[in-house]
Amino acid sequence: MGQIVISANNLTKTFSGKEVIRNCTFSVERGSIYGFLGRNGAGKTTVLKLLLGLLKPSAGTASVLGLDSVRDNGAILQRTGSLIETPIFYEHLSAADNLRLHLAYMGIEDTDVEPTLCRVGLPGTESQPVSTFSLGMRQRLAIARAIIHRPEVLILDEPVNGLDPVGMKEMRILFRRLVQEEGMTILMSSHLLSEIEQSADRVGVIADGTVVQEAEMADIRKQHPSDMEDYFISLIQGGADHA
Amino acid sequence: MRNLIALELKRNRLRPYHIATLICGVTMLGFQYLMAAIPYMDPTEPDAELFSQYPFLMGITCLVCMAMFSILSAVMASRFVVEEYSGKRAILLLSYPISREKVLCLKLVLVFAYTVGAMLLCGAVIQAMFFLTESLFPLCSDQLTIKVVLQSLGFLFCCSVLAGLMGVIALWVGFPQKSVSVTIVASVVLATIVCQIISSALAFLPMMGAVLGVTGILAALAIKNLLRQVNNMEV
Repeated sequence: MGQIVISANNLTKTFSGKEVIRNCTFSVERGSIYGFLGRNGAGKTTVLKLLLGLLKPSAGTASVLGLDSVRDNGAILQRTGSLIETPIFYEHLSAADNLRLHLAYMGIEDTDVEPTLCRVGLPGTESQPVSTFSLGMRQRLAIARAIIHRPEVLILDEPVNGLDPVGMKEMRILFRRLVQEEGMTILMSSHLLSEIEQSADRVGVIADGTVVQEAEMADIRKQHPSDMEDYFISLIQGGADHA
Repeated sequence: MRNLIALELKRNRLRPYHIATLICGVTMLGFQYLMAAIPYMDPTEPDAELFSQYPFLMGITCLVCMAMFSILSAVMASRFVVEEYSGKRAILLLSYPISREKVLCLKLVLVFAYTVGAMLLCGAVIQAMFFLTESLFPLCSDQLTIKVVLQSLGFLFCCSVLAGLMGVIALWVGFPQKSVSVTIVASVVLATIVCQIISSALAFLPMMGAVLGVTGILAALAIKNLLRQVNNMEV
């Protein structure tokens, strides 16, 4: 087993007395793509926010790169790229300026933003104001912002939302290259089964705020060559007992 | 720190506030001449004498100016702080590896400094123009002396600081609800109260000192509370 860079141990989050995340436990190995699969409202985004320290756990612990998500929040954010929920930008600024601003906040200077824009499929948009961008372009720009400072870990919440099939494929290829060529570790959530199936090395299924199943994608392919979709749907809907 | 200020200014454009300051300045200049013209327009007015005295005239203009700039300060604070810490924008802001306290302090300093600076500049220009025309074609019956000018500038400075502090206090009221309108309404109420208190004793320095002291303490409490809220914020 490789080095664990993201881990959650009995992670629990309560909002107004209601347990939204319950004893959530999972881990992600270095240099892999971990797919976090679940229905809308299953708790995927909440778990990602807990890992990034945007939310504080009610119980349990979360760590990224061996750092505690609450105590060492700043250090985690420095070494992590993230995309949580709908991407937000400074609309009056250009795509390049939004990235430059991000780099400045990350304390990084002298990084050319053009190659990253090209990498996510936005060549020639440097000087274009973000207010003129389509949903798909915004999603690409958000991915550019997450990767431009060359983080060790990428935490992406529904990264292919708003992308057309071509864009989805391009991003899939990009994620794989980031892992293979730059050694990044990626944790991505999605409610799209096909996306997780094609992108992830390992998958964690979350249902009603808890991880009900973790498995290698290759093993699942072997065990469920013809009924993979049904297998995942049963997990997402009813938990491990129904699998 | 300087780098962070530059980034803050890049994210939030100041142009609308420059325009608002210009509008405030022009309005206040007109208001000042209108006040000074009251004894000529209606000589039977019982308080007409008051309007021909510099301390009263400058004081009343400064107070109205303070009310306007405290509202401008609240609008700016809403844009720089309330909106930045509301909804999905907060996720972006809190995703940067920078101390939350540092970012908030910087925003508050920016809003306060802009308010004080803009009101000082605006007020000084108005006074300079008014005193210039007074030295040529006097409307007031008072003697225009250096002492009068210095007193006016001192009062302007105190009112400018008060306007900045009131913006911070208004933010304290509006921030928990993440509401721009609550912040602005709070600043209107605050400005009304403070103007009422000061106008009751315009030339009475201890009163101005007391109001500045109380407002300063409230602003300090506001900052402490806002820092705690931002530190414990979950998005």
